[in-house]
Amino acid sequence: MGLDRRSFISLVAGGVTGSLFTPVIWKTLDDVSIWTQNWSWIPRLNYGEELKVPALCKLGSDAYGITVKTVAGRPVVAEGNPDHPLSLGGICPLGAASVHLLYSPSRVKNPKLKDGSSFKDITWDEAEELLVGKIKEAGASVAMISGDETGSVTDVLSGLVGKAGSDKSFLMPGESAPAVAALAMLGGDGKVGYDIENANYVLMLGADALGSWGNVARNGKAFSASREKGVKFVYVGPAQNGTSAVADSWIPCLPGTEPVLALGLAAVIADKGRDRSFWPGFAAFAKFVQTSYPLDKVAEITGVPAATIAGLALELMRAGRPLVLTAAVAGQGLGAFELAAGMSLNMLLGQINTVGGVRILPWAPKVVEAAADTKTLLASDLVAYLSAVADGGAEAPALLMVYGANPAYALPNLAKVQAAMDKAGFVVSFSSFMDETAAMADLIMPDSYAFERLDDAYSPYGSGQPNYTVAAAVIKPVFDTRPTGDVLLAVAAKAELDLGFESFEDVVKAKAEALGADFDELVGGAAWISEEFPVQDLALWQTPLQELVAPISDGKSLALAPALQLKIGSAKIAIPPFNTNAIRFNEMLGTDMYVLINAATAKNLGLKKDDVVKLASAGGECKARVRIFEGVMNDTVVAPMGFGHTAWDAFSRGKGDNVYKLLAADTEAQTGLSRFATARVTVTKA
Amino acid sequence: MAKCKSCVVLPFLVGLVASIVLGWWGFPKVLYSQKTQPIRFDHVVHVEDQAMACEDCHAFREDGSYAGMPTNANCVGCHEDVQGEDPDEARYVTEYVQQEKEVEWLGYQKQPDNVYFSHIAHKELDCTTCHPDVANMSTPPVYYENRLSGYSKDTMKMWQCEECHAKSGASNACFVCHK
Amino acid sequence: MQAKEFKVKWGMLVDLDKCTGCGACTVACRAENNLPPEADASNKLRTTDWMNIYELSNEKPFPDHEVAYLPRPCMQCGHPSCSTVCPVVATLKDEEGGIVSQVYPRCIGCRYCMAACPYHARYFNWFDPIWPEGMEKVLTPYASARPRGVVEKCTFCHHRFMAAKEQARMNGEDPTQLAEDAYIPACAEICPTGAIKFGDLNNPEHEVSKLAASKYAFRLLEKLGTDPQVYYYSKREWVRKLGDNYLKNAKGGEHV
Repeated sequence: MGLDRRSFISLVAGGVTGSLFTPVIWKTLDDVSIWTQNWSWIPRLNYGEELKVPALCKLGSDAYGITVKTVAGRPVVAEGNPDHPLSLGGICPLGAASVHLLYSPSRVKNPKLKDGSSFKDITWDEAEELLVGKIKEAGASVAMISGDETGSVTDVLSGLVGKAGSDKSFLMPGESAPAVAALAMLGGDGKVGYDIENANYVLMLGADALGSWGNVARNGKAFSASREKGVKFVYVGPAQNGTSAVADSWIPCLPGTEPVLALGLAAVIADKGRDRSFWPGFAAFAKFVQTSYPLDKVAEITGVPAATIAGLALELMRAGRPLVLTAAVAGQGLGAFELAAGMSLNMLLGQINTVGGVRILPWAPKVVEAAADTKTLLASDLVAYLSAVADGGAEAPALLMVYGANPAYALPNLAKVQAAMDKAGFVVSFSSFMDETAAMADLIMPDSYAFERLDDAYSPYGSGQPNYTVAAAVIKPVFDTRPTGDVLLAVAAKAELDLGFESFEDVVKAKAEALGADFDELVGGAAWISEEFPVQDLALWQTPLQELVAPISDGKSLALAPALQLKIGSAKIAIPPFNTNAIRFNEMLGTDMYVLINAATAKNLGLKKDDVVKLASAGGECKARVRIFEGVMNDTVVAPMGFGHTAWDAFSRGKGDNVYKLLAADTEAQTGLSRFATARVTVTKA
Repeated sequence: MAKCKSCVVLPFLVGLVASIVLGWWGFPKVLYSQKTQPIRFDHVVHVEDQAMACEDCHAFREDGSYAGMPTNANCVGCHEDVQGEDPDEARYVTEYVQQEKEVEWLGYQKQPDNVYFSHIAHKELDCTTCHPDVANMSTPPVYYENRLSGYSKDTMKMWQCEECHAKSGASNACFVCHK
Repeated sequence: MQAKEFKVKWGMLVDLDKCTGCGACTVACRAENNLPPEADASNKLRTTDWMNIYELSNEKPFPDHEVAYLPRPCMQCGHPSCSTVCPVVATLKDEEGGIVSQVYPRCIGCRYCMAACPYHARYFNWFDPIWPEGMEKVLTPYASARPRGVVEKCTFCHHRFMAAKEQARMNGEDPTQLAEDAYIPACAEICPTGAIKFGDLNNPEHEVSKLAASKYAFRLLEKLGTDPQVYYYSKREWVRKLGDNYLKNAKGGEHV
């Protein structure tokens, strides 16, 4: 009997009915729905023991202890370190992004040698051999640029350069150099810090203390605690920002002229304050400020009304422990005399080397004999040197080594800087990332990322007390990178410029010992803090002050107020992968960045919201869009720094334009330091 | 042609029985692949011969989380070098301990990433309420992996958790178990 | 809808007189909760910003202009608009503590909840997350990685609540009576100025409930009746008035 149609249908019907009594249909549906949720390209989570490991973050200009949470040994998240004096549990937007930078697409994964217009991968042995050869060949024609002001790797690198017979060791520009020079003008010798926690009136002259100046996390905590006690914070600057939003008041002041305001305040206080005539140097100082900086002149230069200046002076005089923080809004660009204006004001108020005032911090102990002193490093101006190399006034180095810095992006006179670096015989970058400098270098010997190596930091600028932090590696290097400290020591030894240390760890141990700190405790996360400050004889007018160069307004140009926001990056790091979302819709339009002008300024220039404009200065040009923002002074334009990257990765490349191009630096004759905080730009429709 | 009544009933019954058998026996055979643990971990050797307690390897950490699958850090206390004659132990030492590689144990009760389970909240229950009783097994049980969903055959489904929660009065709010 | 009352009411208070808009909270939240990295985050209709910072303005011309920054997480409303409209019950306010849950595998991506939320606190995964090579190794185990097609939102770092309860159990303490500092979301923990405070709004000892009772405390869009569990605090009246988004020309609604 064959299976006829009816039987077949019956068979199938039986099969279907039977399947309803089995789990097949329901289970398949359930499993398919789970299958649709488990696509292979959705990452799976990894579990394991969770630990909190102390680490050190130097992505900005600060250097502070943070905590990295690890799961099964892998770092997953970075948080503040409640036990570290410069964190107190807080973390800035760069620190919060630090773990993901470990796997940034712009990480350099192995040593690379320039090959035509791109790179070819080489081994560490090849790279070290090549560098040794170049060092021997260069002799004394070697130079270095370091962005790490607080760490011992800079000592090793400058030691190598020093032993080779060169004095061309430079730090990237920042706030320390002019501050240290300013302190020296009062007869002081040491690093500069500020006891913000104990001040009862804080006047921020251009210092974006809660945004990007000094120790941002610690400043925030100090501000918060002081606020509860009724301490007044006043922000003086060309535009409103995060700091001004929470300060007690914003006093509009043209960019880079805040030091002039300091001298104007000094003039009022010298006149109306208590009798200081017996102070050494006071008479000369008082004469200078009262003659050269009377109220109406200061009002004209700074844009701050005379009545406001007088009122501010009165508040400073009445405060028991006032503290004046002087800085360039963008974190760099003021000369020594400009910082000296602010420093002298603090001196006049009796607030130097005292509780709640400016603090003198001892220099870090020198453990690498051949290294340059920090003081010498801070006095050597990088921008002046590179400009001279570009102009032919100085010889280009046969070998230029760059560590922890991105000079091809983050320097004023940028065109000259890039020309100078092109002139250099052989450029080596130790960058962990493919930044603009690495992209134009001849050899990249990638440093292991911060969490992959031992690192240290001594008293970052602004610290209220001398402090020393050491952090061990959180994880072994995930790529074929090596810690630059160790690489340099090995290379130096092979190039017969032995620096006397086997490993970088030995250097750090020596420094810890010299400070009287316990290395094991440091590595365990306990920062070394000292309560001892050097006692020094300071006096006004030890170095006579000079009139400050005032920016000349010509009726066509606007004052340029560069704005630095850590969420966008710093001089060392481009936009971290997770920070793109923190950039608001009124900060970027597509890939264009906004520059801010107020309605009155816009009307004068015939500009409207979202107009594409060109900003042009003596240094170069930038493209941007117009945003009308009333928190900007008249005839001033705020331009954000941190955009316009041409290297790095998709998270930062091709967004906005590089404001450093607009900064033209001139040199302060007496100190050789570069000044670039009073730039002027024309803004025209592009 | 004469209508044969049984020619409708019989195929129906055949189909019925065949699909029931296929559904209950054949389907799981096709759906689940069989896997074995990377190393044949012998609980008997450790529990009886070495007189180890469960908590020596399966314990709560200081923060209250549960270390269910021990890591190499637990084992190298004794297994830095080969201890016995078992070829699997030798393999563990050479392929995992010396290579600094963790063993990828297969979790019979593996839950998806969107499920949150807290062992310490359930510490009143006996382990075998949910887990196979491996303490007295020399060879770990076969791991049946669902080819479609990727999970273990013994992975508990939501209704099993909900049922017990409802009976014991624990909350059945979504976020108690999801993340 | 009758709102459930819970013994504990997790709440946040953001002191807008301390928020500098730095963005650390935004970044920390992304890192903690495995939000997808977005190379192009310029289209704000396509990004996922669980913690979003708004720039507030008193809309006066220079030099009377004032600015403030307002971080906005999910309000974890007492009367949530979102959970009442979800067709598949993927979101619900049913857990002790009052955190509105969001269960990704159940969500069908209809985005009705996004339309309902007056705070724009919910985000849709328009794209599958693309983790740059290797970056998936730094995913936290705290929140599952979401595929495209599901809605997500701030959960007050609910995983930290769970972790706090585990720690309490380990210490032999009652997990329903957590200490004030036992559970704190990532944003509140890392804020450099300590502007974000967190705690139990039902506990009069907790700082959040003390500050929430202040005359300077306010909530966003209170008149909608959502009963948010996120309070804001500012001594500046113009900031407080912005909380209810008064329309410039509406009768009785002056815009300061």
